[in-house]
Amino acid sequence: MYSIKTPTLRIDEADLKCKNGCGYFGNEEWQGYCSKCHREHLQKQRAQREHARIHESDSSSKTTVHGFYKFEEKKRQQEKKTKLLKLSVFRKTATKTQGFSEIWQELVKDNPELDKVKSETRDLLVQIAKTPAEKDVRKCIHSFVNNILQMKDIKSVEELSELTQNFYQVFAKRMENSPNYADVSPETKDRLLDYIERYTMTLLYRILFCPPSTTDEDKDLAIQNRIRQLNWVSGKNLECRIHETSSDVRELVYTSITDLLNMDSVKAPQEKLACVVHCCRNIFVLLQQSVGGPASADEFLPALIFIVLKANPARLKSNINFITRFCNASRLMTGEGGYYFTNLCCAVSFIENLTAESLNMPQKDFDAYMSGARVPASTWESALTMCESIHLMCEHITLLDELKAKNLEIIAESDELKKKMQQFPEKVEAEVDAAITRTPLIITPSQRIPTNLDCVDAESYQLPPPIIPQVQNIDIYPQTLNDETNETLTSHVGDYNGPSIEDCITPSPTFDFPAFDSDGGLHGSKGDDDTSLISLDTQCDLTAEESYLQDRDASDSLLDESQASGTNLPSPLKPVCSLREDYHGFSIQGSNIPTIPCNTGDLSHNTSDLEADNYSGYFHNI
Amino acid sequence: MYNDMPKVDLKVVLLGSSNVGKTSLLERFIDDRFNENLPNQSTIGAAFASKEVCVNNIKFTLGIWDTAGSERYQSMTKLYYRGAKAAIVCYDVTNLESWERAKYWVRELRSVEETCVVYLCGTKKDILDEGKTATPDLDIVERYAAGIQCKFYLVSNKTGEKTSELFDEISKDYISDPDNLHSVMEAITLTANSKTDSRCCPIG
Repeated sequence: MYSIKTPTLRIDEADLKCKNGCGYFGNEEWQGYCSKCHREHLQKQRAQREHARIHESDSSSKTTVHGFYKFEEKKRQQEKKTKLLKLSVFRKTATKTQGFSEIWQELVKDNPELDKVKSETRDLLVQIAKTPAEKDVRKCIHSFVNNILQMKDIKSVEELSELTQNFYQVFAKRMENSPNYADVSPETKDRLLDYIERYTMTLLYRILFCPPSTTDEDKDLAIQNRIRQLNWVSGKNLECRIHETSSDVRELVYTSITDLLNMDSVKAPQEKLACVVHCCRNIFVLLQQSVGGPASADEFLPALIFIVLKANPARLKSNINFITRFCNASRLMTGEGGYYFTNLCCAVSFIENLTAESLNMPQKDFDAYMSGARVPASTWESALTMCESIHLMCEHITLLDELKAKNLEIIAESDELKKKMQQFPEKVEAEVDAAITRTPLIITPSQRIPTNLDCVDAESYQLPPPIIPQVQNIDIYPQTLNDETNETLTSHVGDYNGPSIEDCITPSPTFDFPAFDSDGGLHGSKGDDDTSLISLDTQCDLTAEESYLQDRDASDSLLDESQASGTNLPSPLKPVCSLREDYHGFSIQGSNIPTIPCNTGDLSHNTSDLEADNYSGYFHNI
Repeated sequence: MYNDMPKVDLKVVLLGSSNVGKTSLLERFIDDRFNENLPNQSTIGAAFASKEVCVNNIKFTLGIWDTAGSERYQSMTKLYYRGAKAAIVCYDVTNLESWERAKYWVRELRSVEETCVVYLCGTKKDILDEGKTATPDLDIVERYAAGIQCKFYLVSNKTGEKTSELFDEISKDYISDPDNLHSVMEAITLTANSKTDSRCCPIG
């Protein structure tokens, strides 16, 4: 049916001759061949079909058709076929069983949109769940769907549309008057009305959208072809003021085209209407950018026509008819949605009736464009490819601009840093100068002081004989006593000096670091208390091993004392009884502590350094 | 998403040639709306506007539909005034051609939408005030308006003179029609418990 119909739409003189080029006139019935060639062709074709069963006979008839159109035509036919198939399958089940519940089942099954409607209105459904309202809504939907399913083959679409509109109105009235809805807020009622429309229409979409009893589909094809033919129409022809060169505007053009195309993919009429509204709002935004100010209807309509021409939405007529027939007219068609929808209808009607006059161009040019003899330089397609690169360039330019800005920032920052760096040595110099001017007076006396101290230092250096550090441990406490005990101290020092000097001199310069580090150094690093503790332990060994008999006397008593100091740090090793003894010894020997000050002197010199502790530890070890 | 489209009770359509000031009239309407500080959709386009009006303590929504004035879209304009309760036919008081077009719209409306109340509106009054002469003469227009029993307004979109009066008059006339009152009242009783106004079927 379509194979015959479509070629008749486009016959030009070339088609009259036999397609084989034999010179005879061809005939439409013979697929454009002369009788002889046709016969040959048929035979060839039959052989072909047996070979591969590729195409139906009609495909060969379209060889004259432009490659592109042929492809399109085929695509459309396939669409159609699948559609018809679907419908016939559908109808078969209907006639076979006559059971509406089965059709219903089939409609509900595999209908993801229906689930979507449900999930999107879940809060509403929850709100009315287990109320008489929910029951009533179900009942209404059920009876309405049943009604439509019963009528679908008997009544025309217009009557079905009337039924649907009645249903909306009756339901709205019912919600007001029925006691079932007494507790429902008006807002919820609004949403319920919306819900039943969405639900039933999504459910019945397959039956009500583009029903086979109408010519919607043919009209769809007609308008699609028409728009395709008009693809050369530019914004300039329509006198619409879209700045195609601005990337923002172009982005919005794409968005509104997408919105319009989206109309076919959603199902409920109010969703379709919402797509139109989105599209139109985007057009207003882009016009606002192009015109600079709110756009008027004079600017809007041409822009919408342009968008429709460039979008060429699928099944445009079917969608428009579906909305007009099944959208709740009283609710939506007088408001903003209705206004935009009317504009869309206007745009479609304009496109259908478009003439040379309505584009303000000579008839000759119009015909040339329509027949494809002339291709304008600014068709959308070529514009798109060009736009693509322009778009890219725009993006790059903006990227470069950003980089430039960043670069400038970095340069500024680096300059600042440079300045700071230049200032820094100056500042340091100034500070140093200031410090020098402040300090020189202090430096000279400090040099004198060490000379005074040197005596003490010399003493202290000389003093640390092995015994002394042991004493020193105790001295942490008696430091304050130093002054009081100074006399006794010095006397003790005098005692120790003699023997210790030799020992002290040898270890102190070399300090036997490695040995110390391996032993006490490690421990020493843990803390003063540890070192003293450990050093205490080692001291015991060392004192035992070392044969400083002179020291023995002192060390015996000192050992106890050192342990006393160790008691500050919990020493598990030492027995408690010794502690008591120590305490005795400590208190008694408070006066004997004398040697301590020397070491404390040492400590006071180096307290800041850890090494100092280590040294002291070392001294302990010794 | 479709809930952000308020329902409109009174559909008013703006007709007239291009450049007579339909859009300015609509902008005036929108400006008034802004002055009243009513929360509504932002103005991205001056082609459609809706406003809630209150006459005799009856609230209803007025929706203005602007149309493209260009002659090339003339044949489609009947799509716009389908179901319109009122129509403002504009013409430029100094432009004879726009007057001829206005008369065409009036005839058209009278034959297609009988229930539609027509308001004749001469725009650009400020130009007249500057000393220009009206073409055609205002007497002729007034006589014509009286002859077809429609109200004639001389407005200035520049100064805003009489524009709000025009819209007020339209609202009043609408509500004074018992049929319209009935449908609006129905909507009011339906929504008596809440502030939202919607639902009802004012299509006559």
